[in-house]
Amino acid sequence: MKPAWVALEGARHYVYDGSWPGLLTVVFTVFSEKRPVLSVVRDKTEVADLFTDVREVMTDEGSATRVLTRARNILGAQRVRDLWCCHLAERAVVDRLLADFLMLAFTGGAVNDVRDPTVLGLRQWRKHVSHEKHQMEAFVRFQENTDGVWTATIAPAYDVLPLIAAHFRSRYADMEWVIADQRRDYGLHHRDGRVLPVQFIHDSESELPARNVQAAAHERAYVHLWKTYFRSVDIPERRNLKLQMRHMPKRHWKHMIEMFGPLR
Amino acid sequence: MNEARLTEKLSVLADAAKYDVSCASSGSTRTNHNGGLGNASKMGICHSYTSDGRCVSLLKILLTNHCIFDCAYCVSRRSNDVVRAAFTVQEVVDLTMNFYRRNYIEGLFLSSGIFKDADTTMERLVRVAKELRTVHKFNGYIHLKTIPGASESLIHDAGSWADRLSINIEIPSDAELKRVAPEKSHDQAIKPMRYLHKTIIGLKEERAVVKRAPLFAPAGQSTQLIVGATPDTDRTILGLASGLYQQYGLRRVYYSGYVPISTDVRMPATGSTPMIRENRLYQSDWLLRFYGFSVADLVSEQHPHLDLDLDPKTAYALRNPELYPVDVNEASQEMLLRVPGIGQKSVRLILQARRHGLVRMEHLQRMGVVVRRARFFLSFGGAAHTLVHRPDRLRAHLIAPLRQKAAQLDLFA
Repeated sequence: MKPAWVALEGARHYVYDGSWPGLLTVVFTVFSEKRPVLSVVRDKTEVADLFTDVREVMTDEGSATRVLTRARNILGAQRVRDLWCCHLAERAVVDRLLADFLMLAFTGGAVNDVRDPTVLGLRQWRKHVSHEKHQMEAFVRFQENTDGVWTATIAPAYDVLPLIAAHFRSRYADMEWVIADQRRDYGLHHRDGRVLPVQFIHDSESELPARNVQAAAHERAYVHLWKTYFRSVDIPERRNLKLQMRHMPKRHWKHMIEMFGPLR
Repeated sequence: MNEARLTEKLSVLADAAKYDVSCASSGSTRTNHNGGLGNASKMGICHSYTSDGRCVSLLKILLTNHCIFDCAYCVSRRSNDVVRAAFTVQEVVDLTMNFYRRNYIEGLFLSSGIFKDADTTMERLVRVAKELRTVHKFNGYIHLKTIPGASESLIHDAGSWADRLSINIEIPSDAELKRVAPEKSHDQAIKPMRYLHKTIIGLKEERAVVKRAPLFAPAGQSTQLIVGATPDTDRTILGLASGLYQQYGLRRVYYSGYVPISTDVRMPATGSTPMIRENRLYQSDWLLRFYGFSVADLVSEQHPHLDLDLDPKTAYALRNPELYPVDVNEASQEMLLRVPGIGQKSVRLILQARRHGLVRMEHLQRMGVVVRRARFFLSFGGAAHTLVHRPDRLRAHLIAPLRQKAAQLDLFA
């Protein structure tokens, strides 16, 4: 099932900077140097091992573009976008699958054969990332501040901010808002139809960037009304916490106002 | 804003609305075309989940729980001694806008007790929707209740502002309905349903020609049936549901297991309807809509009720052992869909994989097939499980582990 180049002989670890062009450069390197992949990692210390060969790949836009163009020709733009989405998972196992899959495509392999663990594996990762994106579209909670900006903090498992930007831009077109990814220290800032990424200077005290503003005066009232509503629609006789947690994993609760604190 | 008063109203009128189980916010195509607030999400979004595991998608409230009707199954019936409250139009609009801006909800689900008469009530519901759409440029999801007996012109107005309309049939047979709700009949619900269906179809054809024709209830209609409040069988319920899907193009029929909220003497003295019955009805509903099953495949005159111990697809397979085993590499899509443990997505993957070569058990596992269930009904080039033609033993085998899990079965509504 595997193409011939996956013979382990001469296989090595590839280390790169974690960027998408970086990963594409890795694929370019694998293809041109014909040395099979043992793993693709972002941190060299993960593969510090005397007996294996480590290749550090410097991101090169030219090589990345060549890989991208060829991939689009073979797979189509949508399928390549799906690969980019998988890369947002930021997992070594996914990076490995991506490298394997692109090599499969470039060597004329059956890229639609879902019996192949690489093909099916990437489909499944695409689903995981989509699921996280969908959950973030659901679980973001905005707070209105005195300066008129609406702010929210999230900590998604994957780097999904680039995927949710379009949804929030069209939905909250008439608001100025910031969604902060607490885990990755950056966020999205929307004003007048434009969404731009913003970097945060890390501040362990507060979750949001230091801004000398407070919640708007009626914010407390609406939070209280929302909590009241949330409690009123519950049917305690049918309590099923396992089901609740399956739909709404606990790791998100600390950013969802109805899930913590007293009623007011 | 009088916060204390509003809080009190909200808890009364949300509590009274929660027995309507419809929660969908999907199926609409509305966009934020005017630089206002909100848009519809094609697949719908559940923004939170309560401790019973049900999704919170819409702000689901009654405008008022004052009602001139006396339906035995309803908590808001005239003769019931409950706290009554009523929102103003402005209050509903404010709550919707402010919850929506904070990303708490996908939109508004507005129902009402019938105060004064049907038209006055319907007019008030329409006014809320119209004000949201026009004054506040709100493009989020709006689900309005159609009030039985309201005039066609008001129902038409409702359709031009709302994404979805629904009218609840509640009691599955007309005879039983007359007994528990003497002021109501199936006809009253069917008439507006028929009118809306005609209008939706008509405007869809118009849109095909004139792209800018206005939206009219783009997420269609739905209804709800109460299960277990009357002696109606699953065969009656599924027969009615299937007819509604076919004749009036309903997007969804919801099944609400009866919770004994009523001490009315017209209601049976039974306890709650077991959740498992509700669950089996939803599973059957899925089989009817997406798996090519007919009502006759699932229930019959001899077996008017669904098997509570087994899901309806497995029960079907055990009643029709001659159709199995199904060969993974040879069978039609239609037959693959009839294999317990294989869903629509897995079928699509199997068909795709077959183009490249033989599909084996290990592939199915990775494709998301519930192999521990499906393996009894499948064959791979002639090799099949020995129990496939011994339905009685197979049944006993399948039920044993399910019994232990029964308590954990969840409900998808």
